[in-house]
Amino acid sequence: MATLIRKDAWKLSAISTWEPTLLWYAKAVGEMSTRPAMDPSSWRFQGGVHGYNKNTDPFANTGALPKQAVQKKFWNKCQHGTWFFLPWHRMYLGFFEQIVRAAVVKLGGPADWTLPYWNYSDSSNANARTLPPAFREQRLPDSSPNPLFEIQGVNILRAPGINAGNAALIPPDDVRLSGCLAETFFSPDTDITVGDLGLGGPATGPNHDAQVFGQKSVENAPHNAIHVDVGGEWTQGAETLRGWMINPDTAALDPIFWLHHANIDRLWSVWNGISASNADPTGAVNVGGRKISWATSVKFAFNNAAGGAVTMTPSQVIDTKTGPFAYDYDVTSSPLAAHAKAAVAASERRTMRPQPRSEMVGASSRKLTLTGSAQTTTFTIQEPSGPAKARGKAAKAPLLGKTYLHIENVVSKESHTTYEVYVNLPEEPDAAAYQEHYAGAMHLFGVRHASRRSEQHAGNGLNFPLDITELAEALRAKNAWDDKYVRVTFVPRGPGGEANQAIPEHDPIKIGRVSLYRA
Amino acid sequence: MQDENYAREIGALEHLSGRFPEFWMLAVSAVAWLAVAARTGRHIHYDGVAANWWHWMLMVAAMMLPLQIHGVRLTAERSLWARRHRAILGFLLGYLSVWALAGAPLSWAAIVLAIPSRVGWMREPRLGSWWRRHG
Repeated sequence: MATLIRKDAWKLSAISTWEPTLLWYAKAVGEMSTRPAMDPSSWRFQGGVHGYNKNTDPFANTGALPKQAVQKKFWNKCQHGTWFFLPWHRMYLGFFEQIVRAAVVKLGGPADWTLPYWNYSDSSNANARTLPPAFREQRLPDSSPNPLFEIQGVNILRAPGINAGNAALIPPDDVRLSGCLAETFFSPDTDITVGDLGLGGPATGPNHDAQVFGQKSVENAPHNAIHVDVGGEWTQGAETLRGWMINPDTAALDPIFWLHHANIDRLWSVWNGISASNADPTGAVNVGGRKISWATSVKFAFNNAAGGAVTMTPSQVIDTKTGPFAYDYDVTSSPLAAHAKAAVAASERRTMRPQPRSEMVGASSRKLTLTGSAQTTTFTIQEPSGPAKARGKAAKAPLLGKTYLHIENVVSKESHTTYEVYVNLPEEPDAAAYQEHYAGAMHLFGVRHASRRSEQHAGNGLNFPLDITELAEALRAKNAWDDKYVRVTFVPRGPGGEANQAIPEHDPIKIGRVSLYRA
Repeated sequence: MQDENYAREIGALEHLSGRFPEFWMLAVSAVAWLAVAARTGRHIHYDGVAANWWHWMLMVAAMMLPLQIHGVRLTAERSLWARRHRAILGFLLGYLSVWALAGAPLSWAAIVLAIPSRVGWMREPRLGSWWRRHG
């Protein structure tokens, strides 16, 4: 089979809003959404594969669902907060693309149709951080309803400014690739959860509900950030509305989900191409006493375009061109200039980097509750006494390694408000202070699942290990760092993506603990 | 090279305990297995709630502790270095206390269910064999 090319949706849109790839996608989505949910090639079945909850199903009262046994086998299978995030979604997209292509062909379209991708990080396109226009038009060229805007008469819920084409809703920091593409390994070679967790995320067993998001994993940003920004959360009268993209149980019902994930999948290929050492995991990792091999230990189940059950392991999708889906992207070169010349020392050619084990040197003693205003916690820190100290001595330098700020056990029953995290922020910060003290943002995609006691991780919430090594050094240089204590401030993000002192009150987001680690 | 320096500085045992902080829990579990193994093959006397309960706890230590490797590693990772083994001990005592409580009524029930072996009329051959078949 020839290799088919997935193309940039914004470049297609530059030809015309209804360039055939996009128009056929819209028509196929319309066709798939008429199929009953029990049909594996239906829009609702495909959405359920990612996640399903009757309480949030916008089509809850329209037709029967698949049998329990079928749901158990194929639904609620998305992988998050794990090194299986990338391969699982690659498989999911591969089968979905086959199903859409079959629908396109059935409607009289081209047999080489491919899923386009949404490149929100494209700095050469001023509109990159808005949805391609085909997703914002209410009507198709023949003036029938546009299935990329409404499905079966139900409007696709997105943050109001998103459909208006407001780029400010997605701040540039959310789509910056200098974090994930600069990673030099896919996953750590141990089951650590505090530290640098690579492009691909932490080594775990199969993991539906996220627990840990590595700061520089492609899953954290741009992936989670885009889900939260596009979905959004807003009030209408007394009601709080949430867009489909913000909830894993409705996200895949929004047709933009698939273009978003095609881009995430492309970024994996881009990363692979940066250097020969940017390879996927090969060996096994001891995860809580069990040996788990990324490539072969876990089989994931899907339905193919013919409706047949298929299982796959990550080893089958490492190469997109020779794999079962036979595709490539029109652009897989890294957009970061520094990568062009990056030479990697032979000693660093490892697919899973042994990460320095970090040690906790201090932690807050109280829980923190965020409801719309900035909150600060201060705690004392000690000199390292374990591995970080030994590593410092071995290198004959007082502080060699890394510093991590760990935001632990973030739970929220309702709100997904994005908070930005600042270290040693002055009492009365000006705009420059916000920039100089910024440590990262908490993108709460999946937080409601992670907060439920009945789910995989008993409601322990999300964890965000933020790498503040460079920030701490910069603060030290301007006398804003103290080795004895640290102050951490959480500032809500305003409606236009800016750091705000206060926003309207929202349901509480609780932070179990904030801690500092040295490695 | 740096790794070698580091390993020398931190010491082999510390290095091991950093990576596998569960090592002493597994040792406790191994000892419990030996104790359980030493008892098998012998005639077991259901001779007291305390003794039964002790046997129950040995089984728990042998079989259930190794399932807690993940929890132990997480506990170690989230504690100050100097206190991590204390934190692990606290975590495991909490875990074992649930099993200890669950074991108390069962240790008592084992004696009640073993009544035929100690009550005279029930040792009568026919009745006794009926109990052994249906009891």
